[in-house]
Amino acid sequence: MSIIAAGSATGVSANDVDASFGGKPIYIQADEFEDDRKKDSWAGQIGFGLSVAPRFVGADEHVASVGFDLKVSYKGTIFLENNRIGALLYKNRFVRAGAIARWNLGRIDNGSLSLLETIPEIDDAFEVGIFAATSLYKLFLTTEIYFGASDDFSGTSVEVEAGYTFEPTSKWRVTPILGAVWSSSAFLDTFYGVEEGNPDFEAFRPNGGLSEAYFELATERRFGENWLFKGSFRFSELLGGAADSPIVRSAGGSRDQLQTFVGIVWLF
Amino acid sequence: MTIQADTIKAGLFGLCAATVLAQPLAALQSAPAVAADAPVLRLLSYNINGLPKTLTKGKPPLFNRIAEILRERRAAGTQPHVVLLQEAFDKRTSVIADTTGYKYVYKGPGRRDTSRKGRAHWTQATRKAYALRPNPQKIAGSGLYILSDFPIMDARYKAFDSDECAGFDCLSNKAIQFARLQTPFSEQPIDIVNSHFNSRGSAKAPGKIVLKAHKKQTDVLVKFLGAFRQGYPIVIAGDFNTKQDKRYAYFSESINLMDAGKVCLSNKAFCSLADGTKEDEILYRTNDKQFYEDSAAVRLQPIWAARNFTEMLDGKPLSDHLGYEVHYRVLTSE
Repeated sequence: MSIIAAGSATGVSANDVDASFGGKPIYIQADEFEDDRKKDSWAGQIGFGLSVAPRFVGADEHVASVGFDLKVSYKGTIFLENNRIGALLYKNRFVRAGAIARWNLGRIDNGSLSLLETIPEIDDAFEVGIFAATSLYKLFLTTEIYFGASDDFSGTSVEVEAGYTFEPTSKWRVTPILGAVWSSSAFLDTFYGVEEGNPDFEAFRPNGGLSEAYFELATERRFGENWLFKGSFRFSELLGGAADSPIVRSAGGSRDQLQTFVGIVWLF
Repeated sequence: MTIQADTIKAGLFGLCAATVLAQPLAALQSAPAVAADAPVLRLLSYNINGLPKTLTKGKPPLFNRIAEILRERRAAGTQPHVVLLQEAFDKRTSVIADTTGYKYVYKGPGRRDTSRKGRAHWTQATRKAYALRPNPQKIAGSGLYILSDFPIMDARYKAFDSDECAGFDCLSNKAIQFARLQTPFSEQPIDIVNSHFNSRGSAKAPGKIVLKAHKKQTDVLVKFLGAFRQGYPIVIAGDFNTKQDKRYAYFSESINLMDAGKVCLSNKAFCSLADGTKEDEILYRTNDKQFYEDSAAVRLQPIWAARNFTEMLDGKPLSDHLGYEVHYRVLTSE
């Protein structure tokens, strides 16, 4: 530490400054500069490309089709993401939570079920629930809990996933995600249960529990201010009551499930 | 139309100042000292390494010692009139603002004075929308303080938007402080700017990304300097993380002000270094910088520069930076 002396060769001179103040300082309030950067109420993305998914949950056969990716949010509070819609109701420093609903497409006989003629269709239906999320830097953890809201579709499922976003370059992001699904016996019974007297499958009543674990790799490559190449690859393993289902264990079923999307996305 | 005598004097002074600045540095070195009795503005910039207390241990004695040194200097009448602090994240650093006799304190934006979401925030569009934050998540405030013996007439700030930072630096609400001080040295106020720019290695992000963020921060500084300045002299000081040549080149060319350290070393007839201060400590081997510009009516002349606060306390340095203090002779045409 060097303490300079008044009047030394350092150029310090006796200035007309009152240095005697010894009380509490006056804290000055500052104003933020107004910035003219655009801040839209609406934000989102529309994408289309190629998607691959199981013909129905638990099916061995996967089909490719034109895929769409739609995400819209209003003031960061109300959001629509493909088959889900929700509203942010609570937020603090670390946690964001709210209400969410999901349109579950069920299981539709589009001809592919001919191999499994005795497996009934499941009507599409709404599920309602709640969500909570937390994030720290590029790490995020989300939870969604859904409850069946129709006569045909009951039970509870809980999805938990965590991921971390890597940025190899300023235009490229890679997000590995690990997730798991817990389902109640009623929920699993809807998709994986078999009634007594089924000619093809033995009767089966699944117990609730961990029903799925998955790994997903999502990546985005920006090629314009509002354009992205987007890809997601999700590999799931059915577990517990889902994996034990005669439907899944049959020739037409599989514990391994793959969902992918590759496409171009426009940000707005 | 009438032209005030003051206006003519200011114009002539500005012309003289511009002429002097336009001369080769070699010529300036041989120029005679002027106005040796003119008042001197003492300005200290100091990154005190006051990271949030959860990340560090044993810091309060160091903060207390820094405050004590400033009190000792005030008692000796040699205190810097203006102190610009960076990395004062830990609440316990407030001892420096509250107990060192500075009458006016301007604390930079806190964690909640959040910066805005930029157009390319890294969480955008990646996953579920509700996991995204409309404003960037900040764990710490700006860590900035301006302590002043002089009244602060105007205080503004601009927190960097979320696409104007990179890596771990994004967790603190890094910002730029603008202050207009009414000093007794001139009728014109003197503008002071304090900031802490994006770090390089400790940001833990790819080099291209942090360089881009640093350039954006420089652009923001230039933009809001334009909005703030009203023709008064100015000193811009802080930890600009410009040790890297590319960063320094872009920064200095963009703000287009005089580097006080360079001017001092080029004008040894006017300006001296404190004992123990090495030339490269104020030129290249440092992220701590001071830049300045005269006005038409007020000229600032660096006459002394120091890297101080070199003391060790129980074998520990007071900070991982040294203080950077420059004394400016204030020459007026008023």
